[in-house]
Amino acid sequence: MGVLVVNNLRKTFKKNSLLGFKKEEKKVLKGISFEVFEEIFGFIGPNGAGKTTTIKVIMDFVKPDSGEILIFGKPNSDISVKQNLGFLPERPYIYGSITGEEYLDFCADVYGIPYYERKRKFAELLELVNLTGVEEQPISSYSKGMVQRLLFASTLINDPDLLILDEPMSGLDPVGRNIIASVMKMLKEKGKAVFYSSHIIQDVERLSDRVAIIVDGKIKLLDSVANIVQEFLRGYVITVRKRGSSSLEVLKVGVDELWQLLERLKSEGYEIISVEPDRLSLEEILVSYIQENRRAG
Amino acid sequence: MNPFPVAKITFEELLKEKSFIGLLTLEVFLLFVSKLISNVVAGDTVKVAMDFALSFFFFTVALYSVFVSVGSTFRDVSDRVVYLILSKPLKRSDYVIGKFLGCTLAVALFTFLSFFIVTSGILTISSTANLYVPHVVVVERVFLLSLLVFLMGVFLSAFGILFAILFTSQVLALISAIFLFLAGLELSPVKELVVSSKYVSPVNKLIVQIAYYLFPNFSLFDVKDYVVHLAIKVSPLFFASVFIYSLIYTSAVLLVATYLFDRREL
Ligand SMILES: Nc1ncnc2c1ncn2[C@@H]1O[C@H](COP(=O)(O)OP(=O)(O)OP(=O)(O)O)[C@@H](O)[C@H]1O
Ligand SMILES: [Mg+2]
Repeated sequence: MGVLVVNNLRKTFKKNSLLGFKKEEKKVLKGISFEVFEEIFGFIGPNGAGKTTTIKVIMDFVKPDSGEILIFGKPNSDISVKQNLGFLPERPYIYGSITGEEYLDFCADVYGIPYYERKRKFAELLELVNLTGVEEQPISSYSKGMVQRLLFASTLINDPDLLILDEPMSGLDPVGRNIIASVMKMLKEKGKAVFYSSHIIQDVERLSDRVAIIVDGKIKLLDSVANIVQEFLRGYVITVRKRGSSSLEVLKVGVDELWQLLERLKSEGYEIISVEPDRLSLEEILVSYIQENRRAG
Repeated sequence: MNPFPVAKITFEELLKEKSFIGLLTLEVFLLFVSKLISNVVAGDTVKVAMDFALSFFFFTVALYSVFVSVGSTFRDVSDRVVYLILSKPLKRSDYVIGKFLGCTLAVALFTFLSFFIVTSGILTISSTANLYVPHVVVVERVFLLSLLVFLMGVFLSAFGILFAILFTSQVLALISAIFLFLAGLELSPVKELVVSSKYVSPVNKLIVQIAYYLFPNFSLFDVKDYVVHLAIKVSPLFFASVFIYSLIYTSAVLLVATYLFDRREL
């Protein structure tokens, strides 16, 4: 069984219109199911698809209408599962008046980390996200990216087996995103599970083992990145050069005709420079799902 | 049950808030105002000045307790700090109780510093006047008043947290808490008026009397007459019963706040 199991989640938000007379209901999650193992699992979808809502339900901040969530095989309402979990909310915020160290101390207090271990532990975490030396300054003096990196690092203080991150990369510059990505990879190598939502599809494609695409409260696609990209292979782009000529020619060919064409080119005296798959990127796949959903709705 | 981490970080945050040092400064300023008022108002100058100084003290602590408890709880939810806190192995009741303990510590420190400010103010005022006031007795009585004012601050903090959880607007929560406080100060005059009136039916009188005993009675904590008029004696039993009253009432309010917060969607 997976580290995180989400089974058929449904959630409606009731919007009280003015004076609370007419109750408007909005179905936000329409039967979400997936399972996360020791891997990096990306959760992507357009704005308002229900990513944050799913994560809030997983974290037991919001109760679902129906459905089941198991973390380490236990129901998510069991407080003990959080002992072994790390969580970073969307656009995270912490009091500006306290220092980075005071916040880390708070986290260490919660998990009962003894004082003599703290100095080394904090230094380790800060080094991981390239924040060494700022711990004694008030958080209000940090940049937005620094706050995000500090709070990301603090989720690792209890050495969790499952990390849940809601858009950990948004608002970070490429360097910051790289830091988070490399820490995520390192965690996976240590056998941890990372579940994260994101808008930045290039990062997801490069980083995730598997992805789920959520559109309008439903999971449209769930597979490994390699499989998805394979499935959406349109053909190949072949670059060739006629022997003796100096200019290059680019040819497009369907999936089935690749070998045939290669044989022909060879017999006609062409030199083959490169053969590259012509495939939809994850981004194009996502956009196509969103458009399809718009047409249907 | 582990409310202490939240209590600690709440206290750390509140101490660095501007309202802490701001209201303490206001208190020093109000001491001068009290002295000025006593010069223009007829009567015993020292007693009038003390009366005003202690009233200002009483209201400043009340205001501080309400601001701090409502503000800090409300902001935690609206600024998404609760997500960071509740993603850790802490129950929602740990959060509410921790918040309350943190506010209690801040109110304790605030009251303690106020006690020093007010006491030194009063001693200065009384030494400039050519009247005899036994200093030891005054200081002792201001200290007893401070203890009650602290209890009141704690009581108000519990209400502040409850209202911050109950209402979806911070301004509404603040106004309600302040209104509750002011109403709770004026309970007995209203009750006396209603009960002695010929125009109120016995049923309504009964309702008013029940409401009188159930409604939080903040005038219990207001013993400044006892400090100003040295002839007044208050039995230790009174202090003990006010202590028990606020203990029970505060626990009940916190219980309701925890119940509501447990069911709240965040
Ligand atoms: N408390 C709430 N009350 C009413 N509607 C809500 C509430 N929270 C979310 N919604 C609605 O639910 C839908 C999904 O929101 P959610 O925040 O889960 O989207 P998301 O996928 O995280 O989007 P984004 O990429 O913008 O973060 C939105 O249409 C939003 O308006
Ligand atoms: Mg979101």
